Amino acid sequence: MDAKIGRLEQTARIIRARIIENSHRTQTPHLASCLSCVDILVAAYFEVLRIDPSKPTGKNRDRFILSKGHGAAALFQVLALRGYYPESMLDHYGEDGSVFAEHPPAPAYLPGIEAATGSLGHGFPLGLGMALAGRIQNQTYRVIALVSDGECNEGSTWEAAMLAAAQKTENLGVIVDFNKWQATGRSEEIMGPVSLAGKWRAFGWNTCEIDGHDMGELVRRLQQVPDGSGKPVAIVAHTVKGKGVSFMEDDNNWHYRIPSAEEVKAAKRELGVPA
Amino acid sequence: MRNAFADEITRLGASDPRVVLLSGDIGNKLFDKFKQQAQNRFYNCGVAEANMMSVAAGMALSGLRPVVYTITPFTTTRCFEQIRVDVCYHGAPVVIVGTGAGLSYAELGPTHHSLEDLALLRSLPGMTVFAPCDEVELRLGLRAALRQDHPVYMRIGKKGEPVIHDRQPDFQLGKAITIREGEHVCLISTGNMMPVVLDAGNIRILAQWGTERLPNFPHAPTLQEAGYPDVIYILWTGVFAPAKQEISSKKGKKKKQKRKNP
Repeated sequence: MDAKIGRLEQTARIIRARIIENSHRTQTPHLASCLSCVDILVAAYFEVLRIDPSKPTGKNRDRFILSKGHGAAALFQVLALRGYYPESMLDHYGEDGSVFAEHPPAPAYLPGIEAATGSLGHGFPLGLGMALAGRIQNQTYRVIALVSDGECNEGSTWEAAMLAAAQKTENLGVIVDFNKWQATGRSEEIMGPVSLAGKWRAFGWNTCEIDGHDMGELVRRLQQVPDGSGKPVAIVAHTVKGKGVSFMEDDNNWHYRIPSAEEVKAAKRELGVPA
Repeated sequence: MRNAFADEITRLGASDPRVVLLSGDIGNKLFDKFKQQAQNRFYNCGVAEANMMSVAAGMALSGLRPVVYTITPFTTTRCFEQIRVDVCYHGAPVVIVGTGAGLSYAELGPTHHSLEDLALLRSLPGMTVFAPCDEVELRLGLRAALRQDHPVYMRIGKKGEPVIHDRQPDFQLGKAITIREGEHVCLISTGNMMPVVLDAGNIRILAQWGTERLPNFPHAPTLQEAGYPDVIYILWTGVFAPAKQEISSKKGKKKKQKRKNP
């Protein structure tokens, strides 16, 4: 197990380096938002999800939805490394005609994508529909939606939370990338200092709080969807925005800032990834 | 039309296991038969239309044929972004039904009126928009909508509408149907305005009471020209009120006056 976790952690370091390089090369933002959810994505795609990249539309595949669509730059790297499409496709990132924009395209345009997200509060409700559809059609697949704490501002997030609990949608899990920041400020200052885990609990979800950068804990918790309680599962993952690079960590300027060539070098040095 | 919708969706749900009905906490008892036959394919999504629309899109992307039903503004303007992004951009075959369309819920007040839905949903790429004029078209339209592989919006009335088609018309989504043949004028209509338009076709101006023809209606003869030279038409207006009636002035409040000798 330890060796496996070590490999996942190494994968996460490589993904982080690629995201930072890509942000510099293509001059695209949302870097810190991507870095905070890399470990979650790696745990899901490289260990937990029952998926086959050669059959991206397989009927009984697990569905992972990046409801916080502004983490697309992280998802694109993960899907490439997982084998959904050649890594060389990413060379055209951000070019005219490329499918790689700042948010995920519709599934028809890129294998591995389950939903076009970016407008917050859409992906998770879409995932609820997919989870209910699985139950109606006697499928055993699970749906995991990754939402941001900023996204929990959206009313539709809570509309979906209510219906999912009422319908006992136990094949559905939500993982909150709780990095305590949203685009322009501290989450608790903007929309209130009420416990996020407490909210999910109050909405009828089986809720736990974990360190969102502890790979072993991420794998263990994500594997417990469904957890046999008859309730949907909420994992509030405490994360650090900009995680992995000391001069980006918990600094919200990196929501929009683009790293210079020097900063890319320094970041890779810290990550232990060769230049 | 509501009852015809409930009846037809119940039939279609019985023959097609992909049909799922989602309601935004309306249609009390209307869908009892559907629920009886397919309990696991009926969802009361509560008063949460934005989520309902996304859930429907997620179901459609997973091989089902969801039909979303609630009062027109709540299934269109309330959740327009969910229709735009989750349904249309994904090309998800969701059938969106708005009941009480236009002013057919006039008595419920402006919050329940829908005068923008046709224009808004027509603007979305990939969306087919359809307004049945009676329950015959509604049933044919709903069957056709569920055969599509893309989104359809269907706006319907409430109840008690007249039946326009006395036999099955040659129905195709996107193709006009001739209701009545004529020579001079072509009237084009859709949806629950159809009976009004058909009535309009029954009206003809016999004569007008002025001494000269009106520029807007040059074909309408004067009463004299029509052969009634002795008819005199006088229009007058007045207000009747009981004696000592209080009459409010324009500004109301303190300026009430009592009229002593009306």
